[in-house]
Amino acid sequence: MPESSYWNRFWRRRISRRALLSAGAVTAIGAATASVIGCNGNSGGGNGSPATNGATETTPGSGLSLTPVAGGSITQGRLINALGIDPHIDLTGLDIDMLMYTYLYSWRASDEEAILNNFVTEMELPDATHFNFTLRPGIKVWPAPYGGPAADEELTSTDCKESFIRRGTALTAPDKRYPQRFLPEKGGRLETPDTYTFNIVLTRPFIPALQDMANPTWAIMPAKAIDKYPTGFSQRAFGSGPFMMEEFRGSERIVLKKHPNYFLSPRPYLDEMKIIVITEGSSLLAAFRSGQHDISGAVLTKADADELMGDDNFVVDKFPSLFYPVIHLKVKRPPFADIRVREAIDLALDRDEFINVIWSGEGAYNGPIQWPQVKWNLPQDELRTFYRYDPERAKQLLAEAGLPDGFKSKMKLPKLPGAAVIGDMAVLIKDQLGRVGINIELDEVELGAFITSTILPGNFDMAFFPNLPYPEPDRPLSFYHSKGVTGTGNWTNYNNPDLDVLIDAQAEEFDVEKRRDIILQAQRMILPEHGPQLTLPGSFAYAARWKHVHVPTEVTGLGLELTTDAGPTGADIWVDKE
Amino acid sequence: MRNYIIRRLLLIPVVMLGVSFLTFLMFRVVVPGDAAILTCGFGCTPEVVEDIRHEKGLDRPWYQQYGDWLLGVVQGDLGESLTESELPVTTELDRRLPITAELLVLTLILAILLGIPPGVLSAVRPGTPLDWIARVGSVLWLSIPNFWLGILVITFGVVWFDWTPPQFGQGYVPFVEDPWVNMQQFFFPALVLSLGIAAAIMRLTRSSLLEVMRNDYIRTAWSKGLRERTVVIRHALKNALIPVTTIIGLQVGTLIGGAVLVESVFNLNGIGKYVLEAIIRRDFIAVQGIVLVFALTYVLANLVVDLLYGWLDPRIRYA
Repeated sequence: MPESSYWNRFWRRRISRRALLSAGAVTAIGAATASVIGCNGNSGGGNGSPATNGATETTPGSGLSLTPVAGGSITQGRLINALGIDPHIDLTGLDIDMLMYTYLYSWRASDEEAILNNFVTEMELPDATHFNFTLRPGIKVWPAPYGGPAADEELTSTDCKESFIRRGTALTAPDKRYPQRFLPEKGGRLETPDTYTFNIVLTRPFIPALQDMANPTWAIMPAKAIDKYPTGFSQRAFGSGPFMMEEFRGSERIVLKKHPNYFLSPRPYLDEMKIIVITEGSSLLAAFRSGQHDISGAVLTKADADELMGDDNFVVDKFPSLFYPVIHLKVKRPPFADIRVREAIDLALDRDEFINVIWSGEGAYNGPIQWPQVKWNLPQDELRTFYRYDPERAKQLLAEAGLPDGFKSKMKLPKLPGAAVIGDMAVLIKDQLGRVGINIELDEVELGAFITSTILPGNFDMAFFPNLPYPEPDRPLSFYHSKGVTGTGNWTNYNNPDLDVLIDAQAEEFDVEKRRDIILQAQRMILPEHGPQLTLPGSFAYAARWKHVHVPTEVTGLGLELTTDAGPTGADIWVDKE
Repeated sequence: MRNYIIRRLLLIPVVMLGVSFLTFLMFRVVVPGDAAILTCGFGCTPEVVEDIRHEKGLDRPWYQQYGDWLLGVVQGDLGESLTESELPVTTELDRRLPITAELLVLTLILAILLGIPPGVLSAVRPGTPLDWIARVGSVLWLSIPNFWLGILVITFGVVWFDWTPPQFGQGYVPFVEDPWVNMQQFFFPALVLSLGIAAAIMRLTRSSLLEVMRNDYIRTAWSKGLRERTVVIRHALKNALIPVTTIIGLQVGTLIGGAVLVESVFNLNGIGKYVLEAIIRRDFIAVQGIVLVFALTYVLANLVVDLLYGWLDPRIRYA
């Protein structure tokens, strides 16, 4: 492997991180001792003197360095129902799963680096197909009755193996590409040579694997619980993470309680976290503003955010959004089978107007990969040159394609409660295309039907919806692969064997520069195709909380991410509310 | 009377059967979408969808599925939610029914209080400013969609008083546990839901009372020198209330429909919100159960109204 390879760089970073963590551990032990003393010295508990554990946070705007205080509780708003909380199966409760389960490690997308703050204490990557993990002893499943069949037992490598098999073979697993490389029946191996060693052997390299394993669907569950409830974690949880499940009503409220034996004691700092589900957007925001919620769960527009920013009671983070609006075209059906028609649509879209109207003037062009991924995407100048607004040329192309009077088509889009911006975007697209004679009828379909009867069966000529916020290049590119983003089929019928080769190659290329070249090459191959996805500009997103809530996150180029010295998700949240 | 009640009660299962069959048919034939694909999500393949269908018994013939479900209903089991695994529909209904029931009862009380007195005043003082205010008010309340009014109430609550209903931060608090918090949870949703119905009641009370007031027996009452209150309340109002009672009974259907929206806006986790979510998720097992409860409520409400006729006008006899 060349010296400049991704893995060598990763390895060097890991050593450096290990040194950092060692120093941090010494501080943490001292701090934990001090915190115990502090608690003993204050029988009042939560409202006593701060637990001095050495961790500090600078509150935005205040410039003060504060020390976390143990105790208290917070309430967080949530816009969508959590239909289930099985991390391997249910996709609507993943944010809650992260607070309850142990994961191998956390991932910082902006640094492309693992934060070894969880189950893994060391990771070795001897070659492109081997991951060797040394696991942390002493991570315990919640005590009885919360921990179920494995209450108070230690997590081991067997739990990792069983969890990976369960995640990899779950019927509804969202992405099959990685599991197909490690599952035994596919020729891969999951090895447990001892209690605290977990090795993965892949059949073929897969670059996004490192990031995938830190995502919330890869929770480590106790093998005993998996045995006892082979399919049943949708309404129950037996975790080992910072918070225990006290109450779960996915369409109403979720109450989590501090895990008393958490390995990072005194974390979690909070005694309780309540998540209240309000599916009506304006009501959700109102609940936050009135102080019933400490952390907002609403989709904030720029206007909402500006208003909240003007109030000293709130902390508002503005960060680049990886969501990207996309028009999906069925490229095998007329008139979209004709590349001149697709080009005409591209030329008729005024992306600057889109930025001004939808994003209040703050936005950037998206190519096949979203604008915040500056390492992998095409430069803005190149995109702006390519995506020029030229309605006259668009009309000319339509005439050349035999459609001098334009044409009519239907564009399907999902109806999303609490996210009116989707409808606003669709109206603007309709207006812009109408200027060149393309009359679009908007067909707003309720989300359930949109997924089931529109997207999955590919039942559309044009469809509009934002793609999910993937923080790496593999997934956005997979939309253009003949096997699609799920690895099982492309719903736009797009098929370009040359592009497939490039997309497959980048997923296995570990040299960063070489991978980047392949990715840029792939994007430059995609642009002149004017489909199957026409990407529109993106912007920023906003997160708001009351100022008494302290969370260890920071704004990076790829969004709002955990700070490098933070514990697992939720463990470091604390409040200084009276 | 007893025979009439028994006959009506015996008809209920037939109505329920029809309702459940139509609901079942609608979700299978008319409404697009498939619970198996929804459960499966974006990463699914046709094979996985088939596996899920098999797992949930959706691959069996429709009559078998319907028959099994019906058998369960007879035994008090409405089945398990298709999308919220392992969650029996009856458990959810048990939990949510008191919320919707309280909302509907409070709404009806408010609607009657806000509808009948203004209607009476408007009828006995026609053409006065009081009459005009009542009539304009009724047109206003009939025109405003209740979900929009709900959003206004919440928005003004926040902007002016930094207040939102307690259920935005906590669960349902029963009246017996804490009447004050309970009233804070229910008063505004019930008020919002009741205004439209109150307006309809007000207008009908007014027109009905005006008509009754023109009758000979009312003229006789006046000529006897009776006080206005006696004439209006004892002689006129009772007769005028017969059509009003009918409209109140019919409004139960409107109320149930309104509850779906108002419960969502005010975050009351009642049956209305549940049915909305179940429809979105294509969870037809849950929807069938809920529709059955709604239908039963509607049928019983109409039975009560029919019986009330006899009390209001003893001349009415049940065949």
